[in-house]
Amino acid sequence: MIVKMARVVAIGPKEDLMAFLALIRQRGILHIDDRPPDKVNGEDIKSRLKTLHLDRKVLSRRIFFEELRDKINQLFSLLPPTTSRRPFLNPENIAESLAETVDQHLRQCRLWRDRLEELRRQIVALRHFNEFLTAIAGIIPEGMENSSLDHIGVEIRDQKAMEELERLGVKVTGGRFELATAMTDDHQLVGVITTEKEFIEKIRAALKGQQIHDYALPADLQGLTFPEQRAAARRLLPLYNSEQEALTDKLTVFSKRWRGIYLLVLDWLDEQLALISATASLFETEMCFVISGWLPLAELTILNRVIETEFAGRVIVHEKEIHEQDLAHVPTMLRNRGYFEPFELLTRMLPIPGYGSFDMTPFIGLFFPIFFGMMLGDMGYGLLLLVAALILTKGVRNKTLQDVGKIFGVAAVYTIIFGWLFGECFGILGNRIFGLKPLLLDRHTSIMPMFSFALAIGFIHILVGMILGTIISFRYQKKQEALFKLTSIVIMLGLALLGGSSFSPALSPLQKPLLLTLLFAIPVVLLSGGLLAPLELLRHVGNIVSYARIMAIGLTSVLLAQVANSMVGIMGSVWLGILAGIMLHGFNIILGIFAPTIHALRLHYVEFFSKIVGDDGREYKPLAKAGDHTGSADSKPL
Amino acid sequence: MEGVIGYEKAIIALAAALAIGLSAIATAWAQSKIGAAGAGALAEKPELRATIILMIAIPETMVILGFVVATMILTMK
Repeated sequence: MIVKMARVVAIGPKEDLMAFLALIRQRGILHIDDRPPDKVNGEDIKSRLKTLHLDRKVLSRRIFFEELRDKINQLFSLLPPTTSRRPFLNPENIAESLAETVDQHLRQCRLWRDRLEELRRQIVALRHFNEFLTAIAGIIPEGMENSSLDHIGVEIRDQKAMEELERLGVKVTGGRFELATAMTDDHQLVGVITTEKEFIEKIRAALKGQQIHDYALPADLQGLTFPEQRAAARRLLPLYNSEQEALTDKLTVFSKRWRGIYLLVLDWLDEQLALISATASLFETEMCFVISGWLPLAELTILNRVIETEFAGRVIVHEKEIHEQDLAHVPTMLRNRGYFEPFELLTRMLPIPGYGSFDMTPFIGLFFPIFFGMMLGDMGYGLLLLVAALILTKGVRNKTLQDVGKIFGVAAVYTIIFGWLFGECFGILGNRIFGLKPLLLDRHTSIMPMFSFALAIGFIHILVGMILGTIISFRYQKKQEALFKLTSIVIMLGLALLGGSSFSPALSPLQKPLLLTLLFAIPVVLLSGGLLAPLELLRHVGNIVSYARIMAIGLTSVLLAQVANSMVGIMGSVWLGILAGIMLHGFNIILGIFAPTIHALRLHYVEFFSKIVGDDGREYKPLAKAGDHTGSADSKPL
Repeated sequence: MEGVIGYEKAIIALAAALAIGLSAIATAWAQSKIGAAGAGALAEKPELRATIILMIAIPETMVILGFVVATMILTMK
């Protein structure tokens, strides 16, 4: 159901504003309206109101809070994730001193982080180069360091790169080079080009043009011979690793020591900034602040009592009457209890309905399981689904999953009921083993009766939607729209009865009156709905035909179950057949849960809701601490 | 005479196959377009998942109606 709301105007001296905001934020019940109130107790105050402007002191505090919050967030981005206990300190008292230390901490942590990043890069480069050095250790000629020769290490990806390398060598050096290759531990082919020192840079430039990568020499190994480079790489790697570990430890210790304190202040800053930003929708007179807003009617008395206790009559809350023109501005809060509560999960997938509209949860709660049961309609599948739903409801702590379990639990019960009516238990297995007979319809053979049954259900569902839509139009004083919807209902009913009269002789005396009614209703529809009215009527018919999916999905489920059962006979071996049958039934159950869910929801969202819900709903969003408000939560006890 | 009945049966079967086959192709084509666009939208706005699942289910009406028509062709005398 949609919770009944009260429109209120709170007035108090400006010096109590922040305390009042803190109180209502703590309570989490007041949805602030950005429209100014026009009258309070019959007195016109609109002309005296202006948007609240923050004074210089509050503005400078806001800037201070925002800067400090940014710096703390920057600091957190540099720290490793650790758990730390929150200190028992008053954040307001330590915020000033933290603002002085945070710069120093940021500088220090940035230095550590930069050095860590540099070390990480050096370690990767050294490891890579070390692999190359190890691979080529056996192919480098001894005593080359004192000669006029030099070398370049390269990665060779494939045979084509090898040929390209040789062609380049010949082109640049005129054949005065040698290419030796080796395999690294990672099975990467590497090569060393040995040539005279004067050709080295030319070869490097030519390699760049051909996308062949030479091994970049780490900065620490510049100017060393191959054996010296190897020795240096082996010596430096452990040094870098230990420095990396030491720096990581320093950051972890720092994080454990300071994170709790900074988190405490960060939360306080968030709260202060939320209060200051809430003032953007407030109003003031010369001496007072004025807040216009909405809250659940049941909370009003409690709020008045709390305000009286806290402010001793300095702040007062007036309740204002909700007029028809206010309906579009009233925020909507949904609250469902008991059986319907889990179904709110399905309603919340769509935009919230307007305050003068209807909460769709009870309708989904009633019709969704019925449609689901009609489509799956198998006692065996229903029992398995019920077990799965019970496991979800009882064995999982997550509230959403529990709600999903409850929804499917109800759907499973309807599946069992319809399975019993259709005489199905794992397809026709129930008939073979237990002698189960269809009580209502045999879905396997009675295709047309099932089709008619589905359309009849669709007609009733759509008609309920149209009636609700008409009531809403009346509530919002949209008389022409209401007339159009009402006449559409008459035409739809008339057409249905006219169709029925051609099949049932009992209804045939009604044919003339029905035709006359339609004759009068059609001009009314055209006048109230415009030239597109016939299209709208056609859409209703299309919506009803869409319910044929109840029959179609059901029939596919029956046929799949039949195929699964027939596998036992086809496979040759009984055990193999049973295995194939179980697998196919398993597949059918998964499909049987997915398809009816999607299609039952679709029938509600597309066919049913389109008759009722507009896009004019405003969600009830009270000023509250982050995570406190869920939109349908119970009010907190005082 | 048997040849005529066989020919008639084949035409009925072909008509039913066309009714379900063409509508299935149309649904698949529509779902492929909606699915691709939906995947892109999901990357930007994950909160749209419910709406996108429903949008993907919308063209299924075509194949369901095709199925109904095919069934009617096969079952109506």
